[in-house]
Amino acid sequence: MTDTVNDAIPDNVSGNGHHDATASAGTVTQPHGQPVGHRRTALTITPAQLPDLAAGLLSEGFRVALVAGHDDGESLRAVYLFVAAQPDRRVELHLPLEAGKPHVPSLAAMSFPAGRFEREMYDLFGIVPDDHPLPARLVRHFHWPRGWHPMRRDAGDPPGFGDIEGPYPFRTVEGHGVYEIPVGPVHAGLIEPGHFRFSVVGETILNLKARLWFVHKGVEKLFHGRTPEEGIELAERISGDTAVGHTLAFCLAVEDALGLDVPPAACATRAILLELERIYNHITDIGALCNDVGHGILNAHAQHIREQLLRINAHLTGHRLLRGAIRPGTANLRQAPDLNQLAAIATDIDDIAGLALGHTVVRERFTGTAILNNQQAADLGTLGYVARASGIDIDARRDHPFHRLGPSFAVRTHTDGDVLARFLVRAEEIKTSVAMIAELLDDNLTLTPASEPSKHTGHLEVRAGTAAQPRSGVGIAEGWRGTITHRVELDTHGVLTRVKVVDPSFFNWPALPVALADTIVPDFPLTNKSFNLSYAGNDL
Amino acid sequence: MTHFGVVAIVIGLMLFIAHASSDTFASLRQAGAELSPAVRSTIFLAVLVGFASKAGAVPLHAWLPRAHPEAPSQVSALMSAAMVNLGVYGIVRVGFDLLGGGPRWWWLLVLVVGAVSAVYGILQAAMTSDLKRLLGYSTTENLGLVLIGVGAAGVFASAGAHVLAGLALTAALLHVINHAAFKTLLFLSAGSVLHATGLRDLDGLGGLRARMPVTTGLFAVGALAASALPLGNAFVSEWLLLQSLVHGLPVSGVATAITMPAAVAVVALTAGLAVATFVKAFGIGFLARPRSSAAERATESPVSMRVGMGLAALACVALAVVPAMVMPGLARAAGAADSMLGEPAVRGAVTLRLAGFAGSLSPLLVTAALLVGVAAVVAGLRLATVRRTRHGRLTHRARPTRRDARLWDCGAGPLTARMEYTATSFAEPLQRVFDDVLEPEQDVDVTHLQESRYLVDSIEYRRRVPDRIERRLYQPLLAFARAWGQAGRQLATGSVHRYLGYGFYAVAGLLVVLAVTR
Amino acid sequence: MTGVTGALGAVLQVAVIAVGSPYLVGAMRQVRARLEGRAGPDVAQPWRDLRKLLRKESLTPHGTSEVFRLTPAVLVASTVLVAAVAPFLTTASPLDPVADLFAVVALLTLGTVALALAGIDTGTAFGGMGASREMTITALVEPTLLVAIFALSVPVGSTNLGAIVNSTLHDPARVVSPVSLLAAVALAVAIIAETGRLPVDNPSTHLELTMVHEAMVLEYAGPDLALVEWASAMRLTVFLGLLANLFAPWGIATGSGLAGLVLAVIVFAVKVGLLGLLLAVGEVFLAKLRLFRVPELLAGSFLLALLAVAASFFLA
Repeated sequence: MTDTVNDAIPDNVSGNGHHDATASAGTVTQPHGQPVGHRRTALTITPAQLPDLAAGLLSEGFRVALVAGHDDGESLRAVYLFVAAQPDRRVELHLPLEAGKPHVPSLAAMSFPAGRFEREMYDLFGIVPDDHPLPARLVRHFHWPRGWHPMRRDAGDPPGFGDIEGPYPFRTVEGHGVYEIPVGPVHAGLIEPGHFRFSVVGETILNLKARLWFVHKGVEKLFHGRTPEEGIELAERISGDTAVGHTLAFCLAVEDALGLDVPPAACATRAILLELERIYNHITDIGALCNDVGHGILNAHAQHIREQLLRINAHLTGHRLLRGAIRPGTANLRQAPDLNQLAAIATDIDDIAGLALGHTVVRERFTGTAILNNQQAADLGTLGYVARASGIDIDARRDHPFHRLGPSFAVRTHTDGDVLARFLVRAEEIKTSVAMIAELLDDNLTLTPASEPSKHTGHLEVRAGTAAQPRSGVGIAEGWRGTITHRVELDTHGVLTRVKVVDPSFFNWPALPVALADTIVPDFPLTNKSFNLSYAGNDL
Repeated sequence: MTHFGVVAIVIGLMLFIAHASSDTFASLRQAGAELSPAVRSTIFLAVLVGFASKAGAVPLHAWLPRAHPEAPSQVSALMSAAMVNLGVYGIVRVGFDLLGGGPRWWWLLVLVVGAVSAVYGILQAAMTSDLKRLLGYSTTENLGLVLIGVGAAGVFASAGAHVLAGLALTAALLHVINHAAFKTLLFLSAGSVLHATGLRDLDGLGGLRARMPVTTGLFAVGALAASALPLGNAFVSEWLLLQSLVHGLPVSGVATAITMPAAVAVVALTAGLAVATFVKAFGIGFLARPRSSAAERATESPVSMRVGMGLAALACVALAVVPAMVMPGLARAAGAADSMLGEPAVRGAVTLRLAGFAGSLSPLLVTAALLVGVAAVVAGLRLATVRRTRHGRLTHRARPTRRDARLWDCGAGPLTARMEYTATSFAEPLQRVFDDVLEPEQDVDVTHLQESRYLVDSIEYRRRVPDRIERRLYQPLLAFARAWGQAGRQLATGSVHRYLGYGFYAVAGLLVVLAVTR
Repeated sequence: MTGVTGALGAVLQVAVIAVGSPYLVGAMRQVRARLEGRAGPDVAQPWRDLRKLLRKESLTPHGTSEVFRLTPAVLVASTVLVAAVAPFLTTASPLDPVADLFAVVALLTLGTVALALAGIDTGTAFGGMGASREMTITALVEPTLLVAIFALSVPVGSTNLGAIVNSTLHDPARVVSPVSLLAAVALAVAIIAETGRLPVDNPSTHLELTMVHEAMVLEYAGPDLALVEWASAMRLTVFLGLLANLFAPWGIATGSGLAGLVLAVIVFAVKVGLLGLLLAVGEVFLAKLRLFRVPELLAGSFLLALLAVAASFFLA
């Protein structure tokens, strides 16, 4: 497996790899439009052409990675990004739209995630998906005024709250004795806001609707007008527990747009940071899963390990959540991580996972709970460990690599799709991550001792002659939750004009209710924790 | 069903009278002693079948949950309070008095019928969301408990343990009285609810405590009794029943050693399920907020209904607090049933003490202590809060009022009636637990939009907990009868030749039989 | 003289349980925290919490009725009554004939029922959910308790607690009989379920959807919540005390004499403390069962109790 992975990676992956989409070996597909970036081509089409082209791409093995609206002033534009793996290919479809009457044909029938992107695009930009089967509001908060699309240039300041749209029209489950449990947006404990509406008979969940976007912060719009350097602080804060993942995707996108070369040492450093983030988040959730089944002692131990890891993070980067380590064109560690320390932690984590799985009750609670089968996981376009636990072999570290992978890398998959499978995938990924860090330590790393003031690469090494025109870039990185995609557009001055962020949670949230069919109410918190989806990364 | 019961009783009694000089109890009693065991058993079985169907015992209960919901509530009350008791009376009168006891297996049979009825009745009651159907099934349960007592009494009597038999019979008869009282009250309250809302379905009720406070309070009294908890009257009779079973140990024999624990298990299980059932009936039906506009518009019933309920409630309370007042009567009744049981089984006015066994209970003191305790806690809490206010900023107010606070809605907005637990939901965990026994039918219909199977158009849930005995026993029987009717129609075509042919075959067959048997 | 010390004993029982139970809860939390490698709150923290809650304002959640308001009092009163009646410190309580073991169980169930009704009365999904779960568990626990008691009573020939305790005192060998052991296990499981401990309910969870007991009391605040919490602690103590004294009654005061009573207080505290310790240690190694595995556990304990009864008949 690892061999084929390495074979699939062209030699220049660590470089900028500009304009080489057609160059990849063994590709039989004809190029879609003009090359515009790293393994990326773009095609400007009319709305009428979209369904056929999209269907063609999907049948070639592409997936919808991102759909973004753009307000170009006098006109609107929708951009559809399709990506495929092995080899890494990225195709953009640009649809210029009339500002007065922006309509696109809906792709909801052929791709579930596309249907959700379209709803998001309608709420934020007012771009209407024609014939959408379920055109209900998605991002729109019910206090937003009717017809207000916050991402439009003329949207102005956020309006004051008022009861304008009325409560969300939840689907009523027909039948005798059905009742609803409303949970959230305010929860007990430190949980982000989301409203869950269960339609239940007794303890059996008949239907679950998750309403999110209570904390739409307009992050994407906050990027506008910033330089890429100034964008870093935002990218690091998109989702607090995914600082590295989002920053990396953002930097990759900026580097793609500017045609920046990233030295291999910086790439290796970034790969280590990505794995460090994965390890500390996975162990946190492994402990939390044990806590949710009332086995508190393992959680106490997991929290202890998490704290050790956070201190290592602080030691290596100066920030417990690994902020400030990744910059466009570079990455920086204060020192190389202590492998012995990490190995000891990996052993401890192995013990915790072993103890959890050895406990009959814990294992029983995990086994068969909230099954997301392979077909569902594929249809919904899930990503990350949620997909891998349902037998989908997807991992951007291999599919959209930015650095050569060593032999210890493997995509960990399970096929059961239950809580246990998600638990196991994550436990195994920790081991892989530690092994990967061990290998990466053999590479040259970009190390700056803590005593020296953290050196900002004050200016970006922009390739001569390329900054004179508007540029776009796409960055794809495998954060610990799954594949993160950023797409940036820069104007002639190198200022960000549009940043579209897609957290894997956006794809995975709809899988939660699907997995919960036939699950009992008291198993919901456990299921929710096994998915552990981001609200901040989703709500943006 | 009841006709079938009447036929069984008539057959049994006719058989009995045929062997007696006249149809007075005295002559029957005399004849009963002289009958051959086979005839006695036949009579008892026939009478048992008949009276058990009157008492609504499983498997002859099918009429009860059907008749109760349809009948007017006062009639339901009468049925549950009086008619079913006739069944118990018949069994006790014929079995103990007229036939003079009889072998142990009679009473084991009664005990088993009682045990099955009790568990089955309460399980069905726990499942249903129809208030009157629930009460009807609860009747089956309670009569089952009574039959357990009667059966135990018979078993003890046949083993010569007459004091114990007296205790068991007293417990059974006390339960008959208690059941009559609280079931009358419950049916009358259900009638009052039906009158006010037009609803029997618990899933549509709720919030009646503010709209019909008297009915609510009186139903609570009945429900407390029906769940056999302290402060309710049925607690005393179930306590006596358990006591009689506890002391069954000296009655030797493997049959006792097996049946008594089983009977205890049944009584215990029934007690537990009855609590859940009546918490559902009262909690979902009367508390919280209305689940339908009919329940929202409900108003208190007229005085006449309230008085009726009040009298029944008074009887319940009296029986709960001083059950001793009916003890002499019960002792006489037990004595009338079996002359050996003449001694009163329970003594004492304030504290009930078992005669001949160590065991005592004081319903009056328990009730008083509990009421005083509640009052003391409330007063103590008041005092604590008042003292605080004297030093605090609310000094101008003599007594702090409780502040109205919003219900916790998780910040999602006002809670609607749809977010209240329903009776169906309340019963669902138990339904899962007793899945194998109840075999509920439920399905969820999910209709998807044609574009994607992940976009749901509508969902519908259906559930039915069928009466399994009814389905397994009666439907095949009815189908069988119908099949025979069909076959018979083919035989009887109206052709004279065919009838002559039948006659010929019959005669020939008779001759063959005679030839073989001679 | 016996009557006087008996009455004194009854009063003392209530006092010891009322004052001591929050400390028991605190001690159990402390033990659990230590075993998990945490510092944990002080043993007296439950009392501080109660004091804090009692000083707060009384609230009436909108739309609730007298059922909701009276429930804390019913809960406390029923528990205090049991504390007075059952033989925890003395078998000479004059109240002993008032209630036997069946009545004690029924009284404790009455408290549970009141709490369930209060949960439903709030009209919230959580309240109803907690009530439904609690009643499902109660419907299965009550039979177990009754049958286990039955098994203990059959050899003694009485269900009166004083009689059972006295009989065990006079015939210590009975404790190790199969009947007694089976009944003890069944009772222990039933008590764990009834008091909402792991693996049936997780008393320390904040997840509303998994709660049983906590979901019912979600709407209580201030002094009402203090009463509910206090009653819960007392119920735990009462149940553990019953378990201790039914199977190991030694140390209980049987006759007159204040010295015996003082000794009984100490022995009772040690016994209940040990059981609480055992429970807390056990909880560290347990996880919460899936909701619909709980009935299987309870059915198992019911069977054990039934076996105990059968054994009591066959081995008598």
